[in-house]
Amino acid sequence: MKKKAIGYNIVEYYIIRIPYLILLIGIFLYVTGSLERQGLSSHNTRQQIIINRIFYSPNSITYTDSATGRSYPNVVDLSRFKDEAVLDKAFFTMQSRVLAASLQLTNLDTAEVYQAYINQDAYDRWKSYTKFEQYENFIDKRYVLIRNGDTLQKGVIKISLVIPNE
Amino acid sequence: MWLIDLTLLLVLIFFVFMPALENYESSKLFYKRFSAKNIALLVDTVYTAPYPLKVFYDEKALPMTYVFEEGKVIVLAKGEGEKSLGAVSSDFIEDKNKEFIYKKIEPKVSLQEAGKETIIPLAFIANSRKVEPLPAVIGGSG
Repeated sequence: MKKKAIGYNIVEYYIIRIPYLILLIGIFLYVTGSLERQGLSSHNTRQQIIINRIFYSPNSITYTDSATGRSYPNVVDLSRFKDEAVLDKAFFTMQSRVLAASLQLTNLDTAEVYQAYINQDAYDRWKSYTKFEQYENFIDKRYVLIRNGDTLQKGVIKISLVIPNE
Repeated sequence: MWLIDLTLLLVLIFFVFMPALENYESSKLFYKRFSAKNIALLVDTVYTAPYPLKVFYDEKALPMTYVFEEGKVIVLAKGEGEKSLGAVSSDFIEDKNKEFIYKKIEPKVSLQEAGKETIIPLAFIANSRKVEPLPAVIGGSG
C-alpha cells in the first residue's frame, strides 16, 4: 500500500473514533459529578435537622412554659401553630431555595385538621416537581400532644418537606 | 489497529481519569464544597438547640476563609473575594427570633500558607437572642 493511502486510512480510522472519545470523556465527567453529588449529599441530614428544629426550637410550634422557659418537644402549641408569622420567622427562607414544608396537624379527639406552611409559595410550586430529580420530598408522621389553652389533646402531625437539590 | 485503541483507552484510564479523580478528592474545590455544606448544616443545628450553647467545629479541612452573610456561608481560598468565580456558598435557614452576627473569619496566615489539612478554626455561640460564629483557638497556642 502507498504511504499516502496508509496515512489516509489512519486519519479516517481516528476521525470515526473522535466522537467515541468525546462520549467517553463525557461519561467520565458525568460519573465524577454524580459521585461528588452523592458524596456531598446532605438531604437526609438536613431533613432530620429541620424536623428536630420544628419540635425542639422554642421559637417554633413547640409549647414553651413562659414561667420556666422550658420547651416541651412533641407538645404542639395550637395558638403558635395557627399563627402564620411563627413559622415564617423561625424558618426564614428569604431566598426561597433551601426548604419548603407543609405541616398538617390533626386533633384525634375532635377530628379537626389544621394546616401550616414554611415557605408556602415555593411549596405549592415545588411539590409537583418532586417526581423529578431536582427536588426531594420527605414525609414524616408522628403522634403529638396538642396544647389548646389549658387542655392537652391527642393529635398527629404530618410533615412534608421539599428540599431542592443543590 | 485494535491494539492502538486498547493502549489509548488504558492510557486514558490510568494516566488521565484516575489521577484526575484523585486530584479532585484532595483539591481545594472539594474542600470548599464540603466545608460550605457542612457549616451550613451546623448553623441549622445550632438554631435547633432550645438552650444556650457553644460548639466547636472539629472537622478537618484545608484552611479557608469563611464569610457569613444573610442566610449563607461563603467559603473562599487564599486570594479569593466573595464575588470570585471560585467562591463556594451554601445556604442555611435563619431564625429571625435570634440575631445572626454576620462576619468574616480568616485562618491564621501561617495555616493557610502551609496548605495542609487542619481542624477548621471555627466555633459558634448561641443564646436566646443571638447566634455568633467565632474564630476558635487551635492547639491552645492562640
